[in-house]
Amino acid sequence: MLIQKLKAQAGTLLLLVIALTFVAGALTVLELGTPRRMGPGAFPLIAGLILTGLCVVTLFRDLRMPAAYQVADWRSVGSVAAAVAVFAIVTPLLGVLPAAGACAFAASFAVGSLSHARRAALVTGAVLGVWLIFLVGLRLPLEAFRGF
Amino acid sequence: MLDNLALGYATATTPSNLFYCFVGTFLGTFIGVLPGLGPLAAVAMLLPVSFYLPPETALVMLAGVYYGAEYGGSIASILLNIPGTPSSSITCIDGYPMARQGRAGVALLMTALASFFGGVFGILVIAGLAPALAEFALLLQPADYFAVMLLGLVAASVVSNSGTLRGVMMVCLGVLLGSIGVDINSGETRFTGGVQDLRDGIGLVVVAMGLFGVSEAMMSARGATPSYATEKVSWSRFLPETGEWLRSLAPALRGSLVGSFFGTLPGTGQTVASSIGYALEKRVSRNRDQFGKGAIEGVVVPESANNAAAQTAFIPTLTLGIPGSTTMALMIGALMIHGVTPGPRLISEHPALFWGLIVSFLFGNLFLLVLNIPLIGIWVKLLQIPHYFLYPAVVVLISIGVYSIDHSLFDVWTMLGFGLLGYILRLYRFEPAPLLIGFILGPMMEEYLRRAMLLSRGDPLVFFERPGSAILIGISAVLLVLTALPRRRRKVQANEEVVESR
Repeated sequence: MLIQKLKAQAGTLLLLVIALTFVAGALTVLELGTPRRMGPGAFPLIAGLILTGLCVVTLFRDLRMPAAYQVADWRSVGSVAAAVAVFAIVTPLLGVLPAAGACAFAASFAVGSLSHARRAALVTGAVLGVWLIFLVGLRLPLEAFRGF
Repeated sequence: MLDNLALGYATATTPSNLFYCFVGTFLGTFIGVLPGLGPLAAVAMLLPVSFYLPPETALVMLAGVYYGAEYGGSIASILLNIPGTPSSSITCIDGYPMARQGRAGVALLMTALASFFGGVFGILVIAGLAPALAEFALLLQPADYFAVMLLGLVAASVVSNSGTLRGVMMVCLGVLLGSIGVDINSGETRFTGGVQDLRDGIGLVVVAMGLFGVSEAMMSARGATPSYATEKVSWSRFLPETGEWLRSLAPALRGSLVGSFFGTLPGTGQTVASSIGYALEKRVSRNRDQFGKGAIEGVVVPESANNAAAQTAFIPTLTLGIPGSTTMALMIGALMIHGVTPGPRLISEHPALFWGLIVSFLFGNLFLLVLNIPLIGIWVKLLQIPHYFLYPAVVVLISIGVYSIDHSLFDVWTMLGFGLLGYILRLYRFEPAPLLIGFILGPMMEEYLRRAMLLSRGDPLVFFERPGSAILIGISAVLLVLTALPRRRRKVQANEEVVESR
């Protein structure tokens, strides 16, 4: 029961962790200064403390009365995250156009089942589109192919 | 004034600026029509492209993208009952019933005309008001600026769809993330964890693309392809009845007035303008019984308000450097990347840019009107693009868009991190839009807070001694209290319903 309640608060808990990290960083690493000459840690400390306070209020309130939340769609999240990651990995190895193709291929798994023909059309369209828009149309100084 | 407008006309009508204004409005409408992608995503996606253009041209193009996307959002609202943008959600209320009654053409034409009317009204307000406000802004002290920004942040929080409390939390998170990087006063690095790429802070485009582009793709990629309105939209079905023309005039004017007012308030944006315009019209209209069933006023008012606000949102953005909406926050980023600092001196230091932009708004609105009526058929076809092509293409575009800014793969990874953060936040009903406002305003707010405290020798009462800042802080407090209390009661009721349903 408690685990289920905490699961419903994962978003707030994440915010609380972020807020506490900033508060700890401001207190331990940065100078706070004086009211007249505020140091680099003062403003983040104020914002961090406000966020911490609000997280605690939200947690207590929502623990008493559970708030609705959506369940993650891991297939979509995983595919889109993999697509961006693949782009970042392939670009320095093979260049922008192969990276765009690989990115489109990985992202296509986010949208449900696709036939091979549609997936191939999507990848080809993405590569052609990137070439036409970014390299031919806008003439951006991007390396189309690398290592060939 | 006439000299300035002549200067603006000369700047806006160069072939290159006219071309990019056209490209901006076209691409904006294109992206805005696609469900789930609004002006924010459109401007974020095209921001990297604008880096390669001169500042005037870049801003003219982005402004075109912005109001093009607003208009595009209305098309999706009317035909699909899926608002392409949050601000066009109000148009769904009467626009979609009109489409179901076979009057989609009339609704689309009136949307285009009302948008044009509201847009031109907003342009006149900017031309008249912005220079005066800029002169007034020169009198403001750091404490006043701090109070204006506080009001902007509070306004962004209270209009958040996820409630005031969550809105404030998102603003605080944005402020914290905005503090990452070198502190300009002391030169100390903050919260970088020793990562050199974070010394200059996190890029605005990286945050925006991650929070809105990547997380949107994660949320919507597997959404079912909606059943589209397949009504054939022909010329003969565009024209409203004679009585409806007359019925639309006063609502268009009222909508433009409301929109122009709310657009100028920092942080509020068009969603508030169109909702309040609609609510007001529902009270004063003689045809209030038809609202929600396809009343033409129900389309005209939110559209004129929305577009007037889209224009006047440029007033605080350009004259105070405070974004009138989340998309305006990106426009500020675009200006700064081009070495132009928005603020009271922008009009005197960059008159060609300011007045050129104002006149280009007029051309952009004209392009929207002239282009969109004949192109309605194309936009309707665009709505039929299957989502399995759309979302992978969006992921590719945003990845390459972020990479092209600095050729930095670190930015691509950071964007992915923000995409995941945005996704988790959305699952738990934290709307990321106020985060972006906090991210932009946070560093500026800190700067003014520190300056004000230095000038007052550390006395915090300085914020209450100056009448301007005292009033603004008072308004912020009242706004917070007024919106937090009733929402809390509603939330408790909603929570009780959730518990009962389990």
